[in-house]
Amino acid sequence: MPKANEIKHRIGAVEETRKITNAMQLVATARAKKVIPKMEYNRNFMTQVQSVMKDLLLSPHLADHPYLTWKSHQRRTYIVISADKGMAGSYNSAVLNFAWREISAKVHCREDMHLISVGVMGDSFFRARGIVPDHSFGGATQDPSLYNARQLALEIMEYYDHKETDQVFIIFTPYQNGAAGKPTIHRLLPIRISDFTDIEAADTPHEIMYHPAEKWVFNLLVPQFVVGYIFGAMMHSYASEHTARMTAMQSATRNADEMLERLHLDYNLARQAAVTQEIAEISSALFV
Amino acid sequence: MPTPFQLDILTPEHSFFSGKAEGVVVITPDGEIGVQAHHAPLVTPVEIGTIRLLVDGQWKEAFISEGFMEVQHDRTVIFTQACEWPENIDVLRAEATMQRSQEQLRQQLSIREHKTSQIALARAMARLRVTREQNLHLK
Repeated sequence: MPKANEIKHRIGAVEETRKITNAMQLVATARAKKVIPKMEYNRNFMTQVQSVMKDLLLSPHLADHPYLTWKSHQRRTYIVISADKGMAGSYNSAVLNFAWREISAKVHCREDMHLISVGVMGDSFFRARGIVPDHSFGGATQDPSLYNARQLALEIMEYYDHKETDQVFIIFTPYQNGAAGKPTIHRLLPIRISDFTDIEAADTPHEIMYHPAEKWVFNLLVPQFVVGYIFGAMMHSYASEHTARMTAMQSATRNADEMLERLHLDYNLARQAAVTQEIAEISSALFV
Repeated sequence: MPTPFQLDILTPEHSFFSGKAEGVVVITPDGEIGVQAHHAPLVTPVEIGTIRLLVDGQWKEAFISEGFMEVQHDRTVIFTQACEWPENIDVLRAEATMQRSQEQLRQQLSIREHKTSQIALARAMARLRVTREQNLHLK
């Protein structure tokens, strides 16, 4: 049985930790709440952009456009969105292990792959496995802003335009029904009409005028689409990260509460035992 | 009074305008284009600059970043990276961006940095222009 003041010391330590986990839970809740309403606007924006894109894809002038063509040589670029810090339950390990499985299954040669890591955790995860990300956006996950999305989009559009890569994928954690969903992978480029099957096109696509020309419009529309998608993925990941952290911290706080209860009991027992022992010692000394 | 039509101006972050308008004028690569109700379906890029909306007989001006305009039979949608009313523009920030990007353009940078600075400069100047015009109206 440990001494009473040892237990008291431990109670103090657990109480401190509990304060921290509780505060982290509150912060995570507030952050998740801030971004969730914005996601609706982005979804709306993306649906509209996709519908314009579908109209355009139905026009015959774009058949051999580089953003649409499927090449036999498949050099891939992966964008992996994770968090900047842990303490979010399985959020980081889920998305990173998913990315790792995907990459090890599809990529056989390091030279054929570009890896862009958003989030410090992803960066160190891949470095530990011997892959140094070509580009690392640390800090971008703390602030899912359009500016950050645009920087990232510029980077990959440049890879693609300079023919350094043939396919671009983004791996992130969607936010579904108020919780972090399963990590998913989405192809950003090249674009295929089959990606838009659930999007409604205009009633009369052949009537639409494209000014100055289809190709011009398409060249400008694709970057908008990519920026919008990346921004959406960043917001989804941000919301997922903070909900995951919220849940993790909630259970940590609950565990701390349980532990405190047990420790208080132990402390009282130990104190009682000490008192009893002292009385026993004193009273036994009386009869000597 | 011209017939009103449904106009939506969307950005990835928020919905800037959604409602009835009688006309809208944007800058495209070929110059300004005005749209009123029953315009033929059209898709065109929108350049960084000023957008003018005719709402309830009143012309309003706002800053718009690069984007697209899609004119359909019954409604018009404009997608853009950013759109702001003059009163919401942070003039100091725009001025700081203008100076910073001008400075960056003077230096020898990579093509991508050059392009980014150019866009940033165009945005900052367009923002300042919109606020300046607004101030003139007030005087």
